[in-house]
Amino acid sequence: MRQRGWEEDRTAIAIDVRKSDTAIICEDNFYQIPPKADAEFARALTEALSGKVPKATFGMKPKEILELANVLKKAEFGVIFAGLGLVYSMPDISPMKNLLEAMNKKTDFHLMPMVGQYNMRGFNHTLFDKTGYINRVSFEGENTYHGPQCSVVEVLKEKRADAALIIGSDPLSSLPGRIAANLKEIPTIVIDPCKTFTSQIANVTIPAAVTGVECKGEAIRMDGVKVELTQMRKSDKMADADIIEKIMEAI
Amino acid sequence: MGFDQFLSSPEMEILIITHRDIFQSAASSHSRFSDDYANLTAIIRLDKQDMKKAGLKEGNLVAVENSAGKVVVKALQSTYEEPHPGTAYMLNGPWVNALVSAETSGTGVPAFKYIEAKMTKSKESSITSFE
Repeated sequence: MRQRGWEEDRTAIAIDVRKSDTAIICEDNFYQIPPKADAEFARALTEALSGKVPKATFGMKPKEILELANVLKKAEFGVIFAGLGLVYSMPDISPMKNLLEAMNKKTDFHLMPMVGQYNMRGFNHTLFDKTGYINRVSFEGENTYHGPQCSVVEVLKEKRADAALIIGSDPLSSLPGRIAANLKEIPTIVIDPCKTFTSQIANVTIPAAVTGVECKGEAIRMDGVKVELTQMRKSDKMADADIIEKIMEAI
Repeated sequence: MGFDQFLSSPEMEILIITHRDIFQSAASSHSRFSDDYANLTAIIRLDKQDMKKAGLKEGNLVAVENSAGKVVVKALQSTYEEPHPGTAYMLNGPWVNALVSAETSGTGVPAFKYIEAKMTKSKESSITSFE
């Protein structure tokens, strides 16, 4: 319990390359940094938390970074919501790891990765439970492999896939154009409740029920909370999991 | 016939930063083929001075091109109060992804949010279609 309640006693800080809707809400607690400055910013903040004078080459004054570090130190429980841009701009995540270590020497801080789509975290939870990996897993033969070389981008770029089963995703829209175009050259099957750019080029499209509307199911929210979804209306469409089971039976 | 077509439109180098938007996400879940989705996604938001320099008026079509690809999208002035010359904003979607390089520097993740491109006023009559 807090003296003035959680609503009043919480502090939100936005660090972004643009003034997002969230940044507008954060008002004075918004720090705009240039693109690709994430690692340098994390390093400077780590220095400030460790009692050193931070250095930043992109125009943020040491005093500003020290003040920010002081706010973070005073938090009793903190969470970093890491956006997609942070992942994309950091080939090596050690600056973030060091920052979290420095924060946790002073107080209790956690990191929560943001995801771009519904139930992305649910997918990765399941994948992690089954394989011990997150994203980019290859099931070749008996073994499972993991790494950048297994990413859908690399697999399609090098034309290693000779068929694609796409479930609840629209790679034609979300992958780099040149790579997405390679999908048109191989047989594709799309299982999705919606018509998508990818379903339009697919050789086979199987419409699936919408979870939480036409079938029941489970999803994991971005904060890791499991949500039970119930069926709201009757439908003769099958859930995606049932479709896959039927395909497996046939195989 | 207007005189405009005889004027050369200057080519401009820009850095495109992509982001997501709740209204676009809502339009996307309604239908990826809706006008709403295209109207919210096939847009490049530019700095006021950059619009002037490129000879653009609100809603003009621009061709944005780099080694990865080329798309025609609508140019609008950005809603940011602070000037951001040289930087433009686009919402995540097939239009901007056409400009994303396949290069991942061994990470398996392309630079979806940092795209360098050249932009000129377009002579096309409509935005690039993905249907």
